[in-house]
Amino acid sequence: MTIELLLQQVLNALSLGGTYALLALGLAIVFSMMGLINFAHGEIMSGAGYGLWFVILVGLPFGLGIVAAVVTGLAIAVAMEKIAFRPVRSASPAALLLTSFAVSGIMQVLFQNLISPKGRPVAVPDVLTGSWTLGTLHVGTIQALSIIVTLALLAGLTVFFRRTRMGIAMRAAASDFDVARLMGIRANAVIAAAFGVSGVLAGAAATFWVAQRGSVDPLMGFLPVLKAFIAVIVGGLGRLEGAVAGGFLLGFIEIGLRAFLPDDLVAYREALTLALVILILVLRPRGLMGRARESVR
Amino acid sequence: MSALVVQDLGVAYGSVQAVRGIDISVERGGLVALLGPNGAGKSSTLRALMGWARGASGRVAFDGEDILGWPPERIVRRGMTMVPEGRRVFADLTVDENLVVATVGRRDRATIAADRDQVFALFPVLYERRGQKAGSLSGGEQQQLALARALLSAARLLLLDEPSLGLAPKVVDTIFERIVDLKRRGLTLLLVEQNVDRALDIADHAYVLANGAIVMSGPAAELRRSAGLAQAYLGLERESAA
Amino acid sequence: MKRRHVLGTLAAAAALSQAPLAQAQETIVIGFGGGLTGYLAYYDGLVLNGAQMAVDEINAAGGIAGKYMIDFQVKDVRSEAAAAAVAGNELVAAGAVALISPCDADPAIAFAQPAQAAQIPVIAPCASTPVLFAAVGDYTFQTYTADNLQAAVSAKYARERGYANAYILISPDTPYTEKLPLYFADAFQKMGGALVGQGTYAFGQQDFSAEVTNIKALDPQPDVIMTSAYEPDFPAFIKQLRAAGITTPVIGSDGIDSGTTLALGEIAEGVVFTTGGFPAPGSDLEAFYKAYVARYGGAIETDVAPFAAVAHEAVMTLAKAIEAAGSTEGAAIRDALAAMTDFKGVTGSTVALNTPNNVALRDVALVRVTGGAKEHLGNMQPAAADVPAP
Ligand SMILES: Nc1ncnc2c1ncn2[C@@H]1O[C@H](COP(=O)(O)OP(=O)(O)O)[C@@H](O)[C@H]1O
Ligand SMILES: [Mg+2]
Repeated sequence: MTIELLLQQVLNALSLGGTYALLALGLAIVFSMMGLINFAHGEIMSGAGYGLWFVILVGLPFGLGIVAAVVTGLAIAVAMEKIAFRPVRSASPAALLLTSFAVSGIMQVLFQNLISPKGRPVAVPDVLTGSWTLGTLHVGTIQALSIIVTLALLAGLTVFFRRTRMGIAMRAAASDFDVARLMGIRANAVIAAAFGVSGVLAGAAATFWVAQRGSVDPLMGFLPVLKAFIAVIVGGLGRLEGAVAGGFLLGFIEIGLRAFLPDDLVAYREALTLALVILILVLRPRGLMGRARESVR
Repeated sequence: MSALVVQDLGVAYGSVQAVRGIDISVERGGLVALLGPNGAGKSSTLRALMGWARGASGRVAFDGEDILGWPPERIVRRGMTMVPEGRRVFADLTVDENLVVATVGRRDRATIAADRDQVFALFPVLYERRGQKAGSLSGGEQQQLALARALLSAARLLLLDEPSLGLAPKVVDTIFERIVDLKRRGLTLLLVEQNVDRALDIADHAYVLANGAIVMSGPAAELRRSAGLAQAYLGLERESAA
Repeated sequence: MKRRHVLGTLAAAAALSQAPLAQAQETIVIGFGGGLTGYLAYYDGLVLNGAQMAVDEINAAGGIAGKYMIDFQVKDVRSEAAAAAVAGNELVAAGAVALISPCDADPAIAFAQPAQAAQIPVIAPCASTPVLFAAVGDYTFQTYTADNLQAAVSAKYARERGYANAYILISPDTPYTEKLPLYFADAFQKMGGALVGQGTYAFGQQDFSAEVTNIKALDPQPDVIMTSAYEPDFPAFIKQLRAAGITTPVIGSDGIDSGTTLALGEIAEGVVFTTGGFPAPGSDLEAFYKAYVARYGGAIETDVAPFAAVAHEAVMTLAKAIEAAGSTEGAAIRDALAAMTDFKGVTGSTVALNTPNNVALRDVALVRVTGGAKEHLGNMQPAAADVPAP
């Protein structure tokens, strides 16, 4: 394996891991406030993909499509919180989980019946389907952009979480929701904001995902969000930095196995990925950055 | 005039009745102690006042307004807050960030900076540690941060749940001094304590709670002098432990 | 004026559809199980529509042989084998005389097993992996262009183009995505070509960067890349392949015979794939496609595929077998199906079912994406010797 190939695979891992990180961060933000693993997160992503698809379908430029994806992700996430989760917020974690399964199933059927069970093609402009050449490295434009935008988003979020009152309040609510309310933080506002941020991140992830696969279908969000869920667990449930680290780690594990496993073992790489994840959890039962939680609501 | 009037307050956890119809009143600017052995229902009372407990019944008037059933953030924005048992500072946030969070509910943004300076003057150790993660502070420092946080939320009435719990005696001194400072600054305080003598030293008035009911109450000085208190208290403790 | 005309037409139609009904003596159940939700929804949706058209045509004409009206019972198997097994049992219990199975091999096997046990024939109009006979038994028939049939045609095409070295991309997740490229490799090597590499992907994995990077590192480089990946894997794969600057020709199979492939634009240019049929102007298949979109909406180019036609054909094949058998008894229908040599339906291809595995021997269409449209390279029926054994 030459150094170029190695670098290439590192970029591959950064790009894939970055997408997982965006999704995992969204899951973790919501979990940290509500104790809810939102299984309908994948449908936020699919919905955002349909937003992109629709804008292109009516003939508007791709750039507007990206905006539409992010705005759709935001809108679906906030609406989901208000309509589905707010009424059952104080219910048991199991009830919340079941609600999210129901929301997920309903949205899949809606996409299927209102749009199509079949993937809807999304034409990606030629400027995005090409590649950048850095010396002997070829980096797909979408791949490069996904790395850059992911890092920019994570940097932006870091600033938001460290420097703004709302961001700091959200971190406080993430670490102890009940006490955050004692500081005057409005539960409704901060949870809506958490869903909003998770929706924006899902919208950004959806853009790369759709641009890379060229279509959007009702089940599109399921698999990446499943991976993101694994990333959240690996990173430490409810730990925002942990989710990001878990996402990147999963990206590196997956790409590493696919790149370096001998041919006859490649078929087992999903199992090997999970085995590695379990190993991490055996060594660190609370995940990479996990620690005991005091309260969950 | 009373800042806080509690009438017939009950708290139930399912079929367990933790507090059974108690009456408490706290004068504006006063410091009232709520005493009682472990498991008496003191925390349950405070939690119910703050909107933290489901299953609360009765009437709670804060500055004349019936607040029972309000969400905590609404109560806080009216001017009453709680320093919960066990301090519960935001461990991952720095001292500064903890204080920022406390001001989120405030509308008078202009005065926040000045209030923050005053808080630092009151708790100089927090100023020294302001960039440090709250989780890395000592217990006493965390308790001071919890007090400072409540103060910065511009509350007029503070509910304190066992602020001396788990602290070294010297640190307890500091905390009690700060509580007296708060009273001097005009705050109204309802103090839950197991440290009976210290609490009675600084309180105007006290209630003794056992098994969810008020068993004794009166001016702090009288209660302290009453020969019955220690006995009653100890007896209760034995009784509730049995 | 106009209204009266419409009413008149309706009345006539009603009269027409009622007249034969009076003659029909019996109603028979033909059951359909398909993944109307889940990952097969698109494919099984096409199959359902095509089959429904055939059923309606037969019933409107007075039933099979003017004798048997069809009660077409539809079950959603949710693209899952477990649900398919339940649906198979329910339809057998409902007294079905024959069944139409879901698309992919796993649900098709689960669906067909109860029918085999009850000696009821099952036609798989879309499950292309030639495994039903071995896995289930002699009551199953596969009428679609089977994977090994397609592979024989694409391997022959590749060798005729002078490609010497091939790379295949497979997914063990479904027999279709695993076996078809392996059949291709088998046939390609028998015809003198060499296999220089093989990649594995997981269904829906989306990110092919590692595989693409591995392809770039191959020495010798492949002259052709063959895969039976379909949506969303195929578009993702070819996008990332081309983005990495790899221009090697790509051969696919019927899973990519859909609008999404054409919507890929420049990237899909030159992709060649085998498929169940091509609606050449004036062909039978084109006529069927027109009728299909007239009924279900959409466009010929994007909203219908050969599965629909083969499903239509499957119902017609059943009707013909029942007519030939003169009975609705399972064994008799099975025997009549197994004796069929030159049935011709809406795809325009002859269909022979008198084959060792009850897998139809029929034309495979070869198509190339040219200028953003499908170009028909021709239909061919491979020589029996070139078809890899299942
Ligand atoms: N969340 C809860 N669920 C059920 N019972 C509780 C809960 N919290 C407290 N209790 C019970 O209520 C009673 C009063 O507890 P608490 O208010 O914490 O007492 P104190 O603060 O005076 O020690 C105790 O018997 C305790 O076990
Ligand atoms: Mg207590």
